[in-house]
Amino acid sequence: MNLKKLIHYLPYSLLWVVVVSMGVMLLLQHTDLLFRAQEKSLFLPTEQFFNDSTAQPGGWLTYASAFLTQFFYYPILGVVMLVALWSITVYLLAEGMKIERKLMGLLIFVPVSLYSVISQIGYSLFYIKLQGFLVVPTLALFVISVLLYISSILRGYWQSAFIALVALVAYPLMGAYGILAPLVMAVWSGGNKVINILIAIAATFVACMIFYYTHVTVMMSQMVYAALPSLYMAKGWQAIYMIPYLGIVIGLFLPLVSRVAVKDRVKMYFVSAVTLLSIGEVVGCNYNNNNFRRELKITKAMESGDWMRVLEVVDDNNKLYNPTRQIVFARNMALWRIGKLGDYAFSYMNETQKSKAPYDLSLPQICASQQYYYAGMPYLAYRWTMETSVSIGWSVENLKSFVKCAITMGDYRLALRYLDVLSQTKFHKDWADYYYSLAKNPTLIKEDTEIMWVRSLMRYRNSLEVENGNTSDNIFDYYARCDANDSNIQEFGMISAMIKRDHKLFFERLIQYVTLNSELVDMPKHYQEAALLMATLDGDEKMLNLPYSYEVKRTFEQFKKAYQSTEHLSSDEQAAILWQRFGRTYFYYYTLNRGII
Amino acid sequence: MRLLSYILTVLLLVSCSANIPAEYSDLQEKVEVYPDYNGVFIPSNIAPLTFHIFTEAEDYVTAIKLGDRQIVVSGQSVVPDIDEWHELISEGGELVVEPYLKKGGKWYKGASWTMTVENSEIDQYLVYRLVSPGYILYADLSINQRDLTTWDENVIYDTRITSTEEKSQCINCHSFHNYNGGEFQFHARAALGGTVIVSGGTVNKVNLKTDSTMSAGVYPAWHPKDNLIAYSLNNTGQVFHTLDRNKVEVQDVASDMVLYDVEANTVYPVSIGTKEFECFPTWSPDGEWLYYSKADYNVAAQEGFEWDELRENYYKFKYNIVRRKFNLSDRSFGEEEMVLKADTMTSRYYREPGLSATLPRFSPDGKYLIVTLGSFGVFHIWHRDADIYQINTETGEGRYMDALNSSDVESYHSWSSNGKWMVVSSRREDGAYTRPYISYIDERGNAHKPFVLPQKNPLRNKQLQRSFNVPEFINTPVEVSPQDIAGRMKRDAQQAKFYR
Repeated sequence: MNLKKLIHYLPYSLLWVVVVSMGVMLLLQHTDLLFRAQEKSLFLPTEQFFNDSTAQPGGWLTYASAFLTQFFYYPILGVVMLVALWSITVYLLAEGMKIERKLMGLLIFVPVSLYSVISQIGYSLFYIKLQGFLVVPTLALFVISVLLYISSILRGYWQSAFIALVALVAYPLMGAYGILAPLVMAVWSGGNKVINILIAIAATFVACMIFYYTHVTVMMSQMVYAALPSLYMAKGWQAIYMIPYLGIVIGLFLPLVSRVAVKDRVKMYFVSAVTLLSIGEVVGCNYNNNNFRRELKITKAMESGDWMRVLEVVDDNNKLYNPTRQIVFARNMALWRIGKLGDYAFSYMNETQKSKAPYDLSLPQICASQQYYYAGMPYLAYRWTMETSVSIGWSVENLKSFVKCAITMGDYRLALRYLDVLSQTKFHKDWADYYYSLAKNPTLIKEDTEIMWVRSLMRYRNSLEVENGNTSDNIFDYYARCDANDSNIQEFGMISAMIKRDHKLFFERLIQYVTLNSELVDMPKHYQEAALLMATLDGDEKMLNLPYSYEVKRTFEQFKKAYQSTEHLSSDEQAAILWQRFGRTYFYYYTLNRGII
Repeated sequence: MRLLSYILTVLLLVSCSANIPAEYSDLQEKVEVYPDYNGVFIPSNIAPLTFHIFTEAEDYVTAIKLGDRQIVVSGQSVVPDIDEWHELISEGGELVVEPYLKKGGKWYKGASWTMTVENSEIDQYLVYRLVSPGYILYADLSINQRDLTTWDENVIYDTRITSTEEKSQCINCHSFHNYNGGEFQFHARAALGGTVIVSGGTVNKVNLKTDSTMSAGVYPAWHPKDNLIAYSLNNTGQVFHTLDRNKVEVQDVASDMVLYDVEANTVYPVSIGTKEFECFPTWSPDGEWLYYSKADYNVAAQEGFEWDELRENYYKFKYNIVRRKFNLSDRSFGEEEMVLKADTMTSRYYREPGLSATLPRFSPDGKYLIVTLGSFGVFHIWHRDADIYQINTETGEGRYMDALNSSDVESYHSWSSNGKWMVVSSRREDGAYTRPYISYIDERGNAHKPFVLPQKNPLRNKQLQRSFNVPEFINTPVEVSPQDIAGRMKRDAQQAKFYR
């Protein structure tokens, strides 16, 4: 290849390198997010699903996007698809806009913004109400690029007619992108641009009005937002979240600079500035939070019943970090499963960290169904799965949760109903087949250790609950008061009372636990620590005479001395010093960890 | 052109026609179909009863026969041509359905089943609310009108046309005046809330909550002879079971009863500020009696009554059916009379006596009063033991309508205008999603095996993740558009006056 040809293709090649790099970044940084987004989406090859989707403006786009989102079951497959779509989109835009090769950098905002739409998601993953949201902007821009390319081939009246036609049909199919498409085509059209813009606006207006008066699925004032993600629960954050979407729009019109009559050198400066800005967008919009990533990995491990993997993720190569309540809860569940709750539950320097998001998170939307389920409360788990399905939308994840809850509750007809739906998905048939076998032949359930574990916890009396929005607190309250004659349940009851620092409930659970384990030789250390500490504080002679281990008594004495000798320090300084020696004791949690975990 | 139309016609005939196999053997296994229409009684104007064959096969042909006529349909989903179907069933008789399945290259005939076409028509429209069976959160609700003679369904009102997720709206309790689609009402709560009343060709939105009433009107009953609506006023709470298959309990904290004059926009007290819990009003067909459910819960009579206490004692709430004489001329009500003392009745499920009766509704001829009976409480759609119970108003005798009931929930019920058909909200399919089941009621008041609302896509009742709530028959369609309702909805509600 000669130099001239190389220079000709270099801009394309550089843009393609950018596009591929973003694909690699998605895989390296956001694989778990991509997988989870797929779990939180749903595509069904049924008439009902199609009708429900297409009744809304932009429904065809979300329908197709939901179809493509399925392939993120294998994140690499999904990313290859994204990279392919981005590459073709950039190529077709460049051709359709007829941009000079050397100015192709002006297009960089488009793929970068499409990437940022995904990389910025973070906790909004749990709030976005839009089927196929991961792929919607990419697919929309792909369609727009195709339309623009076709439009660029046409001339004169044919081009105007084509723009009008697109404007008339695009809104029902693509929502907000259907408004954008004819406008982009008109702005980039040859001939009489002003006329084409007016045609695009007028025809789009007509299309919107026809839609409004023939459909009942959108408010007139909301029509321009159709097929854009709705983040209604994340109040105040919608605007920030929209930055990459704005980037997409800017990216489609920015190359008009190439047609401005200024020197090439000025244009190249502009390209450089745009490139720098796009780098800023990539960095600024990238949601990079380790706790969020851990939570994604933990959820995946919990769903596959791999509790050792949960502990491995939480441990994170012995890194010292401040976890979220979701992480601590998952760790406690895992420790409970492996019988180590009483030895390792307390090992946190500070109270748990709030999930990092620019708005107040509603935790029930994120984790209530999972937490209730694994804490042995499938009825409340079912309820929250239903709430999120209704408010955010139906998803593979919710269908799986429904199935597990229904089977655990013994409601096999209900489980079959959801399995009938799930079995129509592309990548979850095997999962469905397994649970079909349980729902159709419940005698097999006793071989499923996960379900049997949850069922073994359902030994409480029925009561009527009003959810106060704090799932883990509800669970602690429940177990701290639960007097079921089951040693396993009493263990979590003790831990719950310990987390709440409730002496009375702790001793109630402890007595019940000891009664149920009359032959127990070595009581787990945290229970001894809690009993010794609380009995000392209460002056409870009877409890002080329990057979504490030498190690626990010695540590308690050392802790008391160390605590008294550091009392003159600020609480933070005191905690930092005592953490080294006593961080993994209940003494430390009770006195120096200021919150609850 | 004629040649083209000829070719198209031939192609159409070739593509649509199906033939019963000339040779076949009897299939030994049971043919699994959904829905189960075996032995049901159907109206002579009902839309085709489509079904899906689940038994695996290479090809499917189904013959539907009545007398010497038949239609033959190919495919796993059996969807008869609508005109052929109506021609077939128009005169009534016994329909025989014969499925043929091709397996391993050979045709087999599965066991046939029958349906009885009654020489009686059903009201043309059924109106219901489509709602995701969420518990507290709600979204995307609609009130829909289904043409029972076809598969056509259109939206009367959809919350998405006036609300967003952030400012969401709930709609409920649609009610019609004498089966007339031109006169109806429903409530909107939360965003743009109010009671929408369509009457005389106009859409109005009123606020029935006055300074003398605890809430806006909730459960309505339109007087058969005048433009009056009786409402129960309910302060309702919802809680969740932690270990009970009923899952949800909906309870009233307080409730009253009022009468609303639509034309005068005035609320009249019927039973205000009492300690009892009144609910679900209905009028006798002559309009002379107001019936309703009422619970006398002893704790309610005490001062300082707390919600927590009510919650803990939810299973002690037993509703009876009572009535009061109504004088249309001066709008006065007589003393309360007991009609059905359910709280001393014996359950067929439990040894402990004491039941709860809700949702009283009269047959149009007044001969039968139908209620929903459960072991306790007011919101029977969440009570798995809830069944339909019939009282003969002439003899006073009562009985469960066993042909209509299932082992799961039957709750809301409504009569067709000719009194021959009854629609019931049932959760018999999966215990969670309410579906309308329609039953034939014969001269003696006996119910017959009901059929689920037929759909063009026979799997729709399985695939739709929404419940059909409050099914009500009407015989003229609702013609006001959703956009017209939305337009009125966006404006302030007209404040109702309280009659003193």
